[in-house]
Amino acid sequence: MDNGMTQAPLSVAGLGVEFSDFRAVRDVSFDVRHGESFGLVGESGSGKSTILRAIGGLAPISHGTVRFRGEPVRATRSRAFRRAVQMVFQDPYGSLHPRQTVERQLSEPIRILGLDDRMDRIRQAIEQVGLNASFLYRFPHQLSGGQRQRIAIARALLVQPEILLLDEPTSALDVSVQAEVLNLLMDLRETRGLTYLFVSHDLAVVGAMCERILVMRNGEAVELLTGDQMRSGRVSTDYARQLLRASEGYQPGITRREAG
Amino acid sequence: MQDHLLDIRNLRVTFATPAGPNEALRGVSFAMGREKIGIVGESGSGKSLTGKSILGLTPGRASVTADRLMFDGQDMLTMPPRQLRQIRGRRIGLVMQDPKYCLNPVKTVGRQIATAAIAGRGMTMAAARAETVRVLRAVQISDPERVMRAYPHEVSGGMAQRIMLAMMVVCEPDLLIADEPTSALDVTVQLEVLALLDQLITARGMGLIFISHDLRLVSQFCDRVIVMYAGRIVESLAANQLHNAQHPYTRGLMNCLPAIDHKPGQRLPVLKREASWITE
Ligand SMILES: Nc1ncnc2c1ncn2[C@@H]1O[C@H](COP(=O)(O)OP(=O)(O)OP(=O)(O)O)[C@@H](O)[C@H]1O
Ligand SMILES: Nc1ncnc2c1ncn2[C@@H]1O[C@H](COP(=O)(O)OP(=O)(O)OP(=O)(O)O)[C@@H](O)[C@H]1O
Ligand SMILES: [Mg+2]
Ligand SMILES: [Mg+2]
Repeated sequence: MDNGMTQAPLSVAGLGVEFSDFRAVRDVSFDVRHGESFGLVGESGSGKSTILRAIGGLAPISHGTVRFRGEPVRATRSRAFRRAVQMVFQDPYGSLHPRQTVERQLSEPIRILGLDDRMDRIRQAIEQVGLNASFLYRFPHQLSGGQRQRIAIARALLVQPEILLLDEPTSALDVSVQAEVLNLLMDLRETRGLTYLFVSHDLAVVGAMCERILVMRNGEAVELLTGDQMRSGRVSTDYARQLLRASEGYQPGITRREAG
Repeated sequence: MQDHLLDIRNLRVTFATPAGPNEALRGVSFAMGREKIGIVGESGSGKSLTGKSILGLTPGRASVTADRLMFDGQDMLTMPPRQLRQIRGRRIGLVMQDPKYCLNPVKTVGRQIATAAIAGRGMTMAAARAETVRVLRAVQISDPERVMRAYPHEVSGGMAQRIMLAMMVVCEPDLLIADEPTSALDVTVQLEVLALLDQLITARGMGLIFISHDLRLVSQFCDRVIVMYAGRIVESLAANQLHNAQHPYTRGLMNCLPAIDHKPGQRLPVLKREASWITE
């Protein structure tokens, strides 16, 4: 990757998001490089989903700019943007239509792209996320939580995007199924050169997926880490240290105030 | 007969689907006292359905049967619906897996929790409001006043999860069924929420069914772990005996745990499922 020469497909500068008088995101800046997997981690409520939503045009940008291929995005996202950028929501109901069968939802992107071999593509997509054709005629509410999450991922991939905004894409999956999905994402990144903006509260997952990680707290960026720094625990802020420490697991008696 | 808090025998749930009948639960049996039981198992193995069936919350088109479903000496299979509704919410609380979807979208968070406190514990409005602030703080919501005024779509995923938990905890049930209650929480907040649950269980002698896909978390937090696979319980272990697990699914899962120092881009280990696991 020749940084500097190629333009960041996605960049965020001084981003602020306000809801009435509540500031959910304050002055956040980062670039996502071509072919990179960029992680966002941090406390619940720190603004991670809001950043993805602001990029996707679903939350108001009150300050700063979001650039797509170097150009500031407009209030209504361009056709090129909508084609290239897909979002997998944290709440999988958000990504799926409640009254359409899985088959119909997976057919939609294929129809829009004007591709043939519809059934083969659908089968492949659903098997890649560890499910099978027996799920095709179900509605979202007839699936388990993790099955819904995987259908949402399969749908986003069928659109053949260049950039995926993934909000906790595997939080409802056990480690084995999660590994299948993460391996699939790694394969696609290598074969199709996809770029990911990856939100997760699980540091092990982010460590396995991402080259660079931005740690968020209270709507602000606290620290930008390389994957190496995170894995070896070489962090400079107390909060990042606390996160790493807590990821060692539940020990009765240790709470947030004491940890860190 | 022992005085179990909950006693389930041969619970079966079948759905009619266009692809044929789907036997989602195939004879689930277990009994528990006032303890912390973890239910783990892969996606689709029937964990949520087990929790919902205990409260009779399976969708109408499902066929549900059981040889026994007793809660605190009462037979929930033959109980009149009115009595069942009273138990639900007051004595058994269920934290659903999709909190945003389960909260009422047109009522503020504060109103929903206060209503639960009034219905579950007969509180006055003023007392319920004060209690709402207290439980929201207890689940680590730092600005409860703002969050009480918010509607469900105005809170984050992890906040919605904690709000749902607060709403159940505020009723002080005897049995709490928590379906993936911390799956959206970062580790620091997760530890706080677990500490809160621990405290309630010790202080009030509550029973807890903790549904999770996270084997490591459950083994650290619960007394006993039930492992489900394809609609059945394949193994039941003391939490500290997980390393002695026999079932290949359980053993396989333990080998798949990613470590924080995993090299980026390196493929993660996955389980090879065997068709025989479904029947053996
Ligand atoms: N539409 C909205 N109106 C008002 N406040 C909002 C809205 N959306 C988000 N917020 C607030 O913004 C803050 C950040 O929310 P966000 O969903 O981005 O958090 P998050 O980092 O994704 O947390 P989690 O890990 O729990 O999903 C929260 O305090 C939330 O209440
Ligand atoms: N309404 C329904 N109609 C048909 N099948 C259903 C319905 N609800 C659930 N199922 C199926 O029953 C099985 C068990 O579902 P359940 O929600 O209990 O899984 P789970 O163990 O909680 O999984 P997850 O970890 O993904 O949440 C799944 O295969 C699911 O697809
Ligand atoms: Mg979020
Ligand atoms: Mg479930």
